[in-house]
Parts: sequence; C-alpha cells; structure tokens
Amino acid sequence: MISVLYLITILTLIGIYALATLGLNITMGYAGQVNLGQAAFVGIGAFTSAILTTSYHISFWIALPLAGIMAFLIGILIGIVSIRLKQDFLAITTIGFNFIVVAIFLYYDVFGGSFGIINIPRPTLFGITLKSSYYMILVFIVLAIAMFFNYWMENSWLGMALRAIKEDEDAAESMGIDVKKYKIIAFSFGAFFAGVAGSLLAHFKTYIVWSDFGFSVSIMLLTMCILGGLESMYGPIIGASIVILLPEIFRPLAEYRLITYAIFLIVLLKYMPQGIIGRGSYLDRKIRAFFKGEESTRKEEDQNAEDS
Amino acid sequence: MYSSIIQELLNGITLSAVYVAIALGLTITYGILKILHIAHAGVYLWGAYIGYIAYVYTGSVILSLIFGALGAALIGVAIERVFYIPALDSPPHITLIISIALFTLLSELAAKTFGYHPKGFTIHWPIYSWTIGGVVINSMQIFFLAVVYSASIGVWLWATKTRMGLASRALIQDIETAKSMGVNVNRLIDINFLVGSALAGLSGVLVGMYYTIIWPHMGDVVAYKGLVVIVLGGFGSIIGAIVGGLILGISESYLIAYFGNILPRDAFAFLIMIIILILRPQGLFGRSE
Amino acid sequence: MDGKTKKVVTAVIVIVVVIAIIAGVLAYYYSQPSEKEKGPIKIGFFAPLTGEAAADGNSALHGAQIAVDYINSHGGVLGRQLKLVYYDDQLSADQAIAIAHKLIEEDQVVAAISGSYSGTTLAASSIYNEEGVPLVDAYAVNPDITKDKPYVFRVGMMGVTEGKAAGYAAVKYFNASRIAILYIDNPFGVSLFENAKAQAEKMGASVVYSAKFSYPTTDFTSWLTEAKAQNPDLLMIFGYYNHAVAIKQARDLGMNIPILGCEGFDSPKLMEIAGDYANGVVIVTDLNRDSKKDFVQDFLKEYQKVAGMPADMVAASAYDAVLVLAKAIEKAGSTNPKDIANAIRSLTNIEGATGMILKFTNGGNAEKYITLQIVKNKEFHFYAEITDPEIITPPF
Repeated sequence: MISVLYLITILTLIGIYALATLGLNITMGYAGQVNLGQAAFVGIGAFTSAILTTSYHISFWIALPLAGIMAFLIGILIGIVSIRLKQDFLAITTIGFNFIVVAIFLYYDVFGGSFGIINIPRPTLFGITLKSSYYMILVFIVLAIAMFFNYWMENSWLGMALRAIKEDEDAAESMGIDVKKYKIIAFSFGAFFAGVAGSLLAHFKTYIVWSDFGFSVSIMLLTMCILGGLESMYGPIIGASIVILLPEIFRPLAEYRLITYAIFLIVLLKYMPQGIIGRGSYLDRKIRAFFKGEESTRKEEDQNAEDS
Repeated sequence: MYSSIIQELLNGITLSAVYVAIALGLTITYGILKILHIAHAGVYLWGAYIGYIAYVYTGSVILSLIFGALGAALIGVAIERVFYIPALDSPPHITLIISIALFTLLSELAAKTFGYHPKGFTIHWPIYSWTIGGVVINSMQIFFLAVVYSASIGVWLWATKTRMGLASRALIQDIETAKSMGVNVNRLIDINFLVGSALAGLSGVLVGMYYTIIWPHMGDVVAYKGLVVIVLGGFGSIIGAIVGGLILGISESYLIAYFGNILPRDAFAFLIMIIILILRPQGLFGRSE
Repeated sequence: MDGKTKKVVTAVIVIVVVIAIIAGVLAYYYSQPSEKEKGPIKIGFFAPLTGEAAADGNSALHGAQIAVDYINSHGGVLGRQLKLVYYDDQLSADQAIAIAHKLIEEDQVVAAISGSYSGTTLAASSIYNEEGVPLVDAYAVNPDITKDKPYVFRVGMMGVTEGKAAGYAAVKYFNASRIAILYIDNPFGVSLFENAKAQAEKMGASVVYSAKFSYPTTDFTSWLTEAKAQNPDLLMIFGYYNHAVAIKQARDLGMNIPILGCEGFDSPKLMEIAGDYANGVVIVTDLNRDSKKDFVQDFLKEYQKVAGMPADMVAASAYDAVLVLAKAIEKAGSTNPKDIANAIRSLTNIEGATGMILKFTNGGNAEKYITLQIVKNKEFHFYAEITDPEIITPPF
C-alpha cells in the first residue's frame, strides 16, 4: 500500500530537483559549460531564503525571488571565472566552488554552522499554510513557469546564440556573438533556477544544514540532467524522476541499494548516452515529429548529416 | 615557536607524500585518455585492502606493498578496458558520471566484502623517533616519504628516459600521430593504466600503514584532492604533479595551523587551486595554448 | 500564441494535472486508517545502511535487531511479537523525510527509532512529532531534535551533558589547568567542545588551544604541533574511533600528557587503530560493559556473533532505544502512539546496555550516570563514575 503523503513528498522532491536540473541544463545543455557545483547554488538560495524568513521575518513570497537573485549574482561571479577556463579545468573549479561554499555554511554561524537552521516557516497564502499537497502544487507551478521560460529561451536569440557558441566558439565569435557575455548569462540563469529550487527546498523541509548541499548533491543533479537528456526541457523532469524514484523502488534491497543503483546508472549511460529524451535520442526524435514544428525537420537534417 | 614552524614544514612535506602518491597515477591515466578518472580513488582503496589482506596473511610489509600494487593494477586496467575504451567517443560528462558511478560501486563493494567498519592497519615494525632542535621525526615518516618519492622519481625516469615512456608522451600529444608512427596504441594505454593504477595501489597501502587505518570510504577525500593536485600541476605533467602535491601539502599544513578557524582544510585546498587558476588558467606547469 | 506554443502549454498543463489526479485518487483510496490491532507490533527504524556512514548505520541496525529478537524470544510485548521495519536513509535528509511518511502511513508503525546522525534525525523528527508517532533517537546529539517535540525522545547522552562531564573530569580527576581540545566540526563535536570548555573554565582551568577537524581527517599533526607549543597539561579529542590515529600522532610528537576522549572512541576499533598508543587514554561514555544483567551479556555475545566484532556505543544505544519502546508499550498496555509517548515519560530506572536510564526529562532526554573508562592492555576498564546531578541532568 502506498501512502499519499509519502507520494507527495517524493513528487515534491522531484519537482524541486527538476527545477535545479532545469537550471543546470541551461548551463550545461544549451551553453555546453560543465558545472559540477550546481548544489552550491541550491544551497545559496536555500540559506538566503531561510535566513531572510527566520532572522528578518521577511515573507516567503519575497524571499523566494531574492533567493534566485542571490544565486544569480554569485552565478555571474563564477561565470566570469569560468570564461577563462577550459573544459576539465572548469569542471574541477566548479567542484572546488561547491566545497568552498558548503565549508562557509559550516564554518560561519549566520548559516547555523554544523547545526543548520531550524523552524523555517512554511509559506502561507490567503491564510492557508501551504504544506503537503498544496506545497506540491506550488512547486509544480514554479516548475511550469521555469519550463515556459526554458521554452521561450530555446527559441529566442539567447538560445540561438548559446547553441552557436556550443557548436563552434570561434565561428560564433566571428558572427559577432559576444561569447563571454553569453557564457556568463548561461551560468547565472542556471544558478537562478537553482537558487529558487533551494528556497523551495528550505521551506519544504523547514530545516536545512550545510551537508544538504554537498558535492554529492551536485553529482545527483548532474546525473538527473544527463539521464534525462541534455538540451530538452522535459529531460530534467524525467531525469529527476528516475534518480529520485529508483532508490525508492530499490528500497527493499536495503544495503545493496547503492550497488544496484550504480550498476543501473553505468548500464543506462553506456547504452543511452543521450539520456532518455536528450537532443538526438530516440524519444526526442519521436516527440519532435509529434509536434511537427520546424524543429523536427531541422533535427532530422542534423541526424542525416551525422549519419552520412 | 621557531621549532613549531619547522615542524609544520615537516608535517606538510609528509602530507604532500599522500597527495603526490595519488596524483602521480592520476596524472598518467588522465594524460593518456583525458578522462577525469574519479574511480582512481576506488582503485586506491582496493589496493589498500588487498595490501592489508596480504599483510595479515604474510606479515611482510614488502609483500603487502607488492600485492596492493598488483591488485590495483589489474583493477585499473579492467576499468580502462571494460568501461573507458568503449566510451572514448562519448562526451566527457558521460565518462565522468560512469567514473563516479564506478567509484561508488568500488567503495560499496569494498564495504560489503571487507566490512563497513574501518580496519586498523598497524604493522609490526618498531618505530624510532628523533628530536632535532625541537623538531620530531620518526622512522615510519622517513619510510613513507622515501617510498613515495623514490616511486615518483622512478615514474619520472620511466616517462622521460624509456622508449615506452616516451611513446606514451607522444600519445598524450596526439593519438593520430602516434598511430601513424606505428605505435600500438591500445597496448600503450594498457601500460599507462597499469603503471598509474599500481601507483594508486601502492599509495593506498602506504597511506593505510602510515595512518594505521583503512576504511571503505578512504577514497572519498583523495578522489578530488588528487584532481586539485593535477590541476595545480597542469594536467598530465609528472613534475607538475610532484610540485603540485608539495605545494598543496605544505600550504595546507601552514594554513590550517594558523588560519584553521577561517576555513576547513579542503576548502583551503580548492581556494589555492582557484586562485592559481585565475592567475594561470593552464595550471602551473601546463603549456598555454 | 502560435500553434506550437499552444501544444507546449497543453503538454505542461497535462503533466501537472496528471500528477494532481494521481495524488488525489490515491488520497481518496488510502486516507482511511486501517486496522492494526493484529499481527506483530511494527517499530520503524532508519539509519545510513549504505554510503559513508554505513558503519554506524549497520551497527545501530544490528543492535536494534538483537533487542527485538531478544524481546520476541522472551514472550514479546503485550503477547505480540515486535517487528522492526527498517530503511536506509543514505544520510540524506530528503530520504529521511520520505522514510518518515513511508513508515508512518504506509507501514503504520506504532513508533520509530533513529539510528542515524543529527542532520537526518532532526529533519525527520518534526514529521514524527506532527503526526504524533513517538520517535526515539538512539545517539544523535543535536539538542533541537527533542526540543519542543513531545513525541521525540533520546536515549543517548546529550552533547551538553557529555561535554560538561568531560570538562568536569579533566579538572577533577586530572587536575588540568591548561587544556587543548581537538574536536570534529559536526553537532557532536561542537556541543562537546563548547560545554567542556565552559565547564572547565567554570572550575578554574583554561582552554589554551582548540581546533576543529572534519570527519575524514587522518592527519592531525598541524594542529597537534600548535597545541604542543602552548604547553597544555591535558588533551581532549572529541571525534570517533576513526580519529584514533590522532592519539598516535600526539604521542609521536612528544605530547606525553593525559588524553581524554568521548563516547565516539567507545569501540574496540580504537585499540585496533591506535594500537599500544591507546593505553592510558580515558573516555567519557555511558556504555556499561561490566553489567551482570543477563540481557546485557546476551547482547554483547549476540552482537559479536552477528557483526563479527565487539559491540560499540552506537549499537548499544540502538539496543536501548528498542528496550525503552518495549517497556513503554508494556506499561501503556496499548499500541496507541499517544499512550506510548506518555508511558516513556513515566519510565524510571531502566537498565540498558548503555547503563541505567534514571528517567526521561520533560524535554524527552534520558538522564543517566556517566562513566569514565580507561584503556589498559588494549581493553576498556572502569575508571570513575560521575553522578553529580549538576553535570548529568540534561538542560531540558
């Protein structure tokens, strides 16, 4: 028998992590910049929101966007560092960023130190406290808004520019695209979504501590992003669902759970390197054919070009 | 006061041996395939456990080191053959996640095989210690440093003086050219993984003996610390890995001694790395493009 | 909106609606409470069984399971058998929260036990409290776990009492006046450090050096060198037995002063890792190895058989958590969670594997005597017992 609150908890977590992954997908999928420190941005958003609502008694509805903006600003900083670095150097720098950020959470009392921050208030709307299913709906509304943004971005000048940079940086530069600027934008938008997700996570759990945002969480987000598939707005939801549901399904395996999960992951990536719905994967081609937009024909052309 | 400054230097050099040991193997394997080989830390911990088992059965430190290195070498080559070679055409983030999943798998398998709890790895050598001008040094420390640094020199000689090493260097520069020169690329990749993984196993056993403890998650720290070192050295450079390890060990030692309340050890390590990368984006010994 | 945008909008709305419908339908079907008066009495349990903290998680699980088996083989509780429903939390707060709902609503446990650390236990504790299901925390020390939560209890020592006891012992038994402290940077280490420092200073000693280290640390020489330069006359190490190598490093650096450890050292692994260096180390703990009671001896023997190593503090604490719940259910005469919670509060003098629990305070924390044990010939031996109410009484 499945309990409903358990299900709601799982779905809420899927929604929140899908949002953070959606951000990662902008940085990694569309702009092609490796980010192994996305959890740090989630943490920055979570602590911003937690501190604002507990210490300064600011409303959740104001703290939520501020959490995103805080992550956005720090994302700009990391973006500036990132434009100087090549692939693997960038990967390790972002790992380092993650370690430094959680270390600051741990070492400074503003962030609750090793004890974390407790009693983070649940949001209220028209006098109703948003918890369990209400909170889940809130999370999915925010996720839907983010997906609209992603959809808009995919087809806007921003998306085009990012794709051009990903294909060939020098060619994009010669076309008059300010590569540095767009790379920084990609990083900071990715961070923004992570920050918002962090705020949602903090008010869902009502208790956060530095270790909730460690490097292993970044790896989890990266896995969600890649399993779901890069450059797809549905990828993050699918990826987050798999990564959160699998360990739950494997629960009866108890101490063999992590082993099973690791094997599953290796096999999946070996045979589906584009993820479930990533650009160029089987499902992706089917779905694009369903929508029959110009996108699908272009994709098929790409595919033909690759095949030949 | 004066003596404690020197003592911290010695502490730092000892610590650097841990980093050099792990980074040397990593730099060789990274150089050849350009894969962020996180599972190297898994090879390291299996080396430590195999060495431990060998020590329990034989009671010989030398045999323990040899078995640890051999066992690790086989695991490393198996990973390369089964997982890395077939995935060479995949984008780097795919191999990265596969490598991380492999590391998780190796850690969990070690936990299931040898037990979740740490094991004490105390060897029966008597320990002598000397105090020179207030600075204390002991025989185990000297043994540890001697083995790690002579292995480093050995690897450096192998890479720069032998035909095999030079061919590997050529391969690092350009796989296609190496192929056209008639180099057996697959065999060379195997040999590099063999050497790199044997070093990982050796360092696992040594670190286990020196700190008298091994546990299934002993690779967690070195997995990324090793990366810091090879980034400092500028990916793929052997001298870079040695110097990077020394810089990291010594600066960590002083920083946590004097500024330990500002940030923890690992955050300092990454901070040093990021500052150096901002100043020199190709690392200390990397060539700029 | 062009046609394509519409399709995307439709797709997104469909996803949201489908999820809402699934949730709604399930809510309708499963909202009725089911009959749980028959069959075994279910007790929930969560701990990190995989990942970096798996050693403690599995120790705790073995300890709890041995207690359940012991009770079942001695007639069970209220004539019914106990059943432990356990899940792996991987030390993730997210999973601990999901598990809380799973245990409470799906498995319908009458009470639960945490064999996990502070972060996960604290995250889950408010759910058990809100749902009115008693949660017994085996050994996590964060004070907030039990604070203002009438359904949450703790059988382990609080960091506050253990820290106070360490400070007290340092001055009373070792006449320490210049103390150096190394502590782990988690709630356990920080609580111990703060309270040991306060207590020692209250009694006239001073803390001349302190530094914190992280869990996977194996090299303590930098801090020990600085500590030695301050000429301390006692060294406190607040960490786990994994950090036993700090004892060796201190001795290697020529620090021949008394070393005072904590319950984190309370494992035979301490001697395995530190070897002969462990001799003479004194620890502050509550594990009662010398107890003559049948069930304690049975526990120590069974644990050795199941786990292949002697029992440690974590296992004993989980064992006691089960014991407390069984006694409370027996006393309440029902499996109603509210009655169980009230019964726990009225229990007195429960002799467990971690010593005698005198009673539970209003805040839900166990009050018990603290013992000091000394390592001699690689074995723990009784050194002293602290019964001073000022020290051992939990703050709430």
